Amino acid sequence: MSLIESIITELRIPDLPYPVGQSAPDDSSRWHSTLSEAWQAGSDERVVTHLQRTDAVWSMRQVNAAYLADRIMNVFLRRSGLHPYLVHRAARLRFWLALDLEARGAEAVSEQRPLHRWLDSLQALRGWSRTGGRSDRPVESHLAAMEQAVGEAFRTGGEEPLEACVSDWLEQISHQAEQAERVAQRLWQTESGAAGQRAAEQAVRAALSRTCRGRQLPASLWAFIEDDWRVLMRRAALEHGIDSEPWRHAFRLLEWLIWVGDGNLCGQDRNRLYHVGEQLTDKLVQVVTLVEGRDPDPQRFAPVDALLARRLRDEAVEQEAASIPEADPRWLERPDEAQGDEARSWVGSWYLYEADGQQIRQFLTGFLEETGEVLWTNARGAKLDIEPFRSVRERFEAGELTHLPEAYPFAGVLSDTLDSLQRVLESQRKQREEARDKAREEAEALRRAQEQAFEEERQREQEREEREARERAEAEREARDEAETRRINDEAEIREKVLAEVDRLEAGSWIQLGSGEEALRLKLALRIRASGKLVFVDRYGLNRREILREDLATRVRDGEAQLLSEGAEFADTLSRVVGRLRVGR
Amino acid sequence: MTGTWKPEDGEQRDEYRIAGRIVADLQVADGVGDEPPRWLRCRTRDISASGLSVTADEPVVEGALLNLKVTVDDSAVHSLLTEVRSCREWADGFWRVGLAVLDTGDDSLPAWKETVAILLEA
Repeated sequence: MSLIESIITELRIPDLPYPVGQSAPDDSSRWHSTLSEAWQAGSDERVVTHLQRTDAVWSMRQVNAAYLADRIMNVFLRRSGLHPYLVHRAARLRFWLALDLEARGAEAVSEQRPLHRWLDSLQALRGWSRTGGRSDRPVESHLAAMEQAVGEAFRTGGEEPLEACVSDWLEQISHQAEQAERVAQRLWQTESGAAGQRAAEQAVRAALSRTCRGRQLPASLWAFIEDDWRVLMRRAALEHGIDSEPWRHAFRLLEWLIWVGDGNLCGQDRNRLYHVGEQLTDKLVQVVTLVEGRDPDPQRFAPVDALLARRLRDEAVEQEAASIPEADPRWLERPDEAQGDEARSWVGSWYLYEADGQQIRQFLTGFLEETGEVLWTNARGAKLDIEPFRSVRERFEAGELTHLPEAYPFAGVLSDTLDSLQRVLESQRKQREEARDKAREEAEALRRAQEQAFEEERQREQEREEREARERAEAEREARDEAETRRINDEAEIREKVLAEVDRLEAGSWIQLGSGEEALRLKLALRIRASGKLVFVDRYGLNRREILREDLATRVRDGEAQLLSEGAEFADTLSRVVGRLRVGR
Repeated sequence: MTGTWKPEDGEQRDEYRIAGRIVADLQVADGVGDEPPRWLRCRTRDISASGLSVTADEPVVEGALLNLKVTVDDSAVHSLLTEVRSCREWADGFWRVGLAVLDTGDDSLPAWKETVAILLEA
């Protein structure tokens, strides 16, 4: 017998509505209709909850199939890493799984079964987030189709609709995966190129911000820097990098241009002005040649030459303040190598965060070395965002961003679940055997103890009768008086009769203690033969009193107690007997 | 009386219990005059050689000695004297009642233990 079959037929989990003994379960249509109705109603409850709700007698197989389906689905969904909405919808398949497990046992969860294939295929949706956007539609539409197919399978008992739906879905997700891969590749190429341009542009902005902010420059020089030198610097950064000779020279010449342009700077050092004036144009030509790979048009630097001439002649030049926005100086440095190594280790994984109460999943497609940024994409390979890696790490460290747990295949869930249930099953088998032997031994011991108690009681009774006979004989000898003898005999007769009646009391017999308003009616609940004790309780099973049989007989004889259960007739007879004897005495 | 209960744990019996649901009727009051006895319909949560755990829709008093009728296997009706060892309300609004089966000196307890032993064979 397979493990699943053993679990389904033997396991007993506390509080589940198992049958006891050989009670015949209700018609199997009840089982089918209960599951089918729960499915149609879109129930989110456990299967066993639906079984517990009715008084029907379920078979071991049905209860355990329900339990197993709940357990397998709960573990799978808890570990699947899927979006909560998907988990919620998929969890309802527990009703179909229960039906299948009851009917097919182990085969119900084999790899060929549509449900197994479908659950495994959901890993393709690990990155799916419910955003309310266009990407929701194919998934929503498939879920609706799947629910319709399962409903159809419930109605007809055939699996064809389910099989067809799962096959279509597998084809669809395979196609989508290829498409997403292609989209992501194209996106990566585009973004890698754009990253270089962005890094170059940012480096130029940072260079301008560092050198020009707070400076006063002539309009002609501003125009040259903005229209010419800025473009050259961007090209130097893009084609040669910011740690290259061309970039360093271009940056240095930008500083020279600013120095020459701002009269407040160059006006204080005439010697240096001559020195710079002699070399500046030549150096500009050299750097342009270096960056652009060709000699520049000599007219290109005319605005610079004109300004230099005026500066050397010490003419007044009209200047205006530079309007350069602030820029991040970090763009002037190469991205940290160590950070790059770390960022690359984050690539290729899914991450999630909460936004407006929604769980958003995003895939870290790649690290853009030039900018130190990462590219985020969605499950369809489409771009979500570009974010500096340091910001990603900060969000992660703050707990705002987390890793999506690794995918956990259905087969793994099944094997874990069955392993743990196997341990429970084996332990239960052992406990059952021990409990069975113990129950048998206890039953036998009780019966032996009862026989012994009966025997002891019989012996005590015999001894009592013998003792009373001896006492009577002795009394007769000692008291020849006829009346005394009769009194003693009467007393003994009363006591014997009452004691015999007390011994005839059975469980459920009633007595009354006391009389009048304080009279207390009690029922014999239990007779402890070994000690001769009678345990009485009131009609609610409460107010327990323990009375020795001899004490009770004495109380009855003395009129302090009455035996009621034999009915009024008995009580009256007894009271007449006791009364007559007393009068006679 | 059986001695395999752990009083400090209330309803916890120190033995294997067979989880299962069958009807069990608990006599919560004797009849008086024309008034018939009152039986409370319960359902077992589990049964064992020394007691039962049942679910009831009203509480019973701990310590009470109550008659219980329980049918196992649609055949033998067991009439047992039980002592209420615990009674607690659960979140579902039902009461979980722990009952110990008492030895009344007749064959009711040995027969019950024998039945449980047979159920444990299955």
